[in-house]
Amino acid sequence: MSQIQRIMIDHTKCNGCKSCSLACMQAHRQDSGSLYDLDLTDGTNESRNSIQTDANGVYFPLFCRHCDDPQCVSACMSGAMTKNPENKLVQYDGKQCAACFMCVMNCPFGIIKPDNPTKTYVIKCDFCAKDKNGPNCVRACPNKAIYIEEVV
Amino acid sequence: MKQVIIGSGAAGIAAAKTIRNINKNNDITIVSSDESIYSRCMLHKYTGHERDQTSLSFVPNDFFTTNNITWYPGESVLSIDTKNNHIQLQNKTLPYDNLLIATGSEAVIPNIGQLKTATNVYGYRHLTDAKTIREKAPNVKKILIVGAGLVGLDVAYALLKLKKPVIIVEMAPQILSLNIDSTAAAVYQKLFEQNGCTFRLNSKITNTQSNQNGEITHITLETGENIACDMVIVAAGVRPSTKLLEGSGIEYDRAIKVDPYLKTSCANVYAAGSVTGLGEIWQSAVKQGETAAKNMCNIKTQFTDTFTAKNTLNFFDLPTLSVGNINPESDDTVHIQTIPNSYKKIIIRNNIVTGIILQGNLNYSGIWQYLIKNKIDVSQLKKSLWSISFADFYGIDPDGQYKYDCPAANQK
Ligand SMILES: Cc1cc2nc3c(=O)[nH]c(=O)nc-3n(C[C@H](O)[C@H](O)[C@H](O)COP(=O)(O)OP(=O)(O)OC[C@H]3O[C@@H](n4cnc5c(N)ncnc54)[C@H](O)[C@@H]3O)c2cc1C
Ligand code: SF4
Ligand code: SF4
Ligand code: SF4
Repeated sequence: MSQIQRIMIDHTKCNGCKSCSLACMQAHRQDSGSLYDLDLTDGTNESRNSIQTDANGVYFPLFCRHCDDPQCVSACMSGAMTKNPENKLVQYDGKQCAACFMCVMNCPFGIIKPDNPTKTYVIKCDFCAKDKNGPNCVRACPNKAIYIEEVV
Repeated sequence: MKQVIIGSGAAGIAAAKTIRNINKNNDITIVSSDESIYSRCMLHKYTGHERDQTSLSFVPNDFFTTNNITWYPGESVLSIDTKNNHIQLQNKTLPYDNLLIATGSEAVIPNIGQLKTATNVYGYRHLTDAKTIREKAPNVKKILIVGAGLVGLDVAYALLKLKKPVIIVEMAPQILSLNIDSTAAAVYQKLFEQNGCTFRLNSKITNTQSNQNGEITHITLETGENIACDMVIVAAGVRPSTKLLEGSGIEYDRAIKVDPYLKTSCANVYAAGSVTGLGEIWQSAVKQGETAAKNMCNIKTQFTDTFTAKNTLNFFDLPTLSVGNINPESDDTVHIQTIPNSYKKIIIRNNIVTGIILQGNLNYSGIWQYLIKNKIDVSQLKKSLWSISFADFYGIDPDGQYKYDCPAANQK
């Protein structure tokens, strides 16, 4: 087995600041600019991660796990959602996607969703593959509630 | 080891991939009546000119070479000789050590009037169906579709995009009666109607009329009414493709009989996908293919995920999800939330969610299948049903993968 990187989570350190979500939005915005002019209401800038609370108000970071046995991949009828055999990431190809949203229904943890404005593609963590510095969310977290580890 | 797979659909391809991942040296052969690899769930995108044949594929173009798989496209298996372990093609006999039957299903054409024999009646299952319909569409004036289920609406959606007048005849009082309730169905019905579709619900076809070329020109309803049409597409259900089993000794009735390891009644012969009758959905076919493949590689694995009461739809960019039992019984509690562009309905029996419909807003909805499938008690959550998320069941393994952490007492 080759090693993979995963964003590990220590939810007890999360104070719900959502710096991770902002960083993800900034990393995936379609226009250019800095965090200070990021339009939070523009649906095309949606975050791939989210912070949710339980009934007691405790914060839980909900991030795609790039699962070992990804249900979103076995559900995908177009070949758009695949598990990369080398880096083990679960990758999404928007061009191949048919917007059936079977992946959304089958992610057991409710991590993925259709895009809000058009409902024609899936909002899915890409591990910031295009960014040579790696996951932006991790770098943005001030509390080390999320961090990268190699897992066997 | 010669691993032979019949069928190149969801189950057959998943099986081939799995065998190759387990074993680099096995001889893998796929024989299929299909000429190319394509996803049946995307056929309407071909009919509607949104995709070409290549982009219908759900595997990369070089799939067979990268995985070193021998592939016989456009070859139907005529029979299986389970005594001598070989399958019979038109001009060829292929031996096998293990055989996987992943032949899927066929459209059922009911025996009414000339539906079975007329020359302008099509099913909607294979790329050949989608191709013929796409070729003929420019020259037909009125297309009649039998059945307002998922497949019927898929093809109607494509034809409406081509600005073809479509009339759909359905026996049930609503469209999509197997998938969603009448409220969610009415929304889609209106969208289809606004785009040029006519529905005849509560309507049963009792006869047809043909011209001298053997083409249906009218269908007759139970009421005696005649509806003119020059093309008929039948989307009234499917039947497992079992014809090749005749005389093989492999047991089947409607579907192929399999044990929990997806082995048939004959040694070294397995079956996977909709031909087993275990569920006519894509993911089930994939998982069956993977399970059968492991067993074909001597990794004993049972097929366990038999939950198939789940569907998503997406027409006119309005997505809908339904999971579980969508028809409440008298002592069930039904929760409904209607806000602009979103309809949600949750059905609860004895503190357990048994069914859900979400229309318009599918955000983070994956948890519902898990809760319904595993019969998780939600009555102890001090939270509105509408704001439940995985945070309420959060658990994590040392390797960083999530797991559900529900008090054991909650799991029935
Ligand atoms: C129009 C349409 C839309 C659909 N939409 C959805 C959807 O949105 N979501 C969903 O979950 N499911 C959907 N389905 C169902 C889904 O496509 C099936 O559940 C799935 O394809 C089953 O896979 P399978 O491998 O068992 O069979 P199939 O995909 O039917 O593959 C069977 C294979 O066997 C081959 N074959 C059959 N007989 C022989 C023979 N004698 N010799 C050689 N080869 C043979 C066929 O050529 C084919 O390659 C849809 C189906 C259709 C038709
Ligand atoms: S989307 Fe869900 S199922 Fe798919 S890899 Fe991410 S966490 Fe796993
Ligand atoms: S929405 Fe796209 S990625 Fe998701 S299952 Fe459908 S085709 Fe695959
Ligand atoms: S790794 Fe990148 S895409 Fe994934 S959640 Fe973090 S910022 Fe978003």
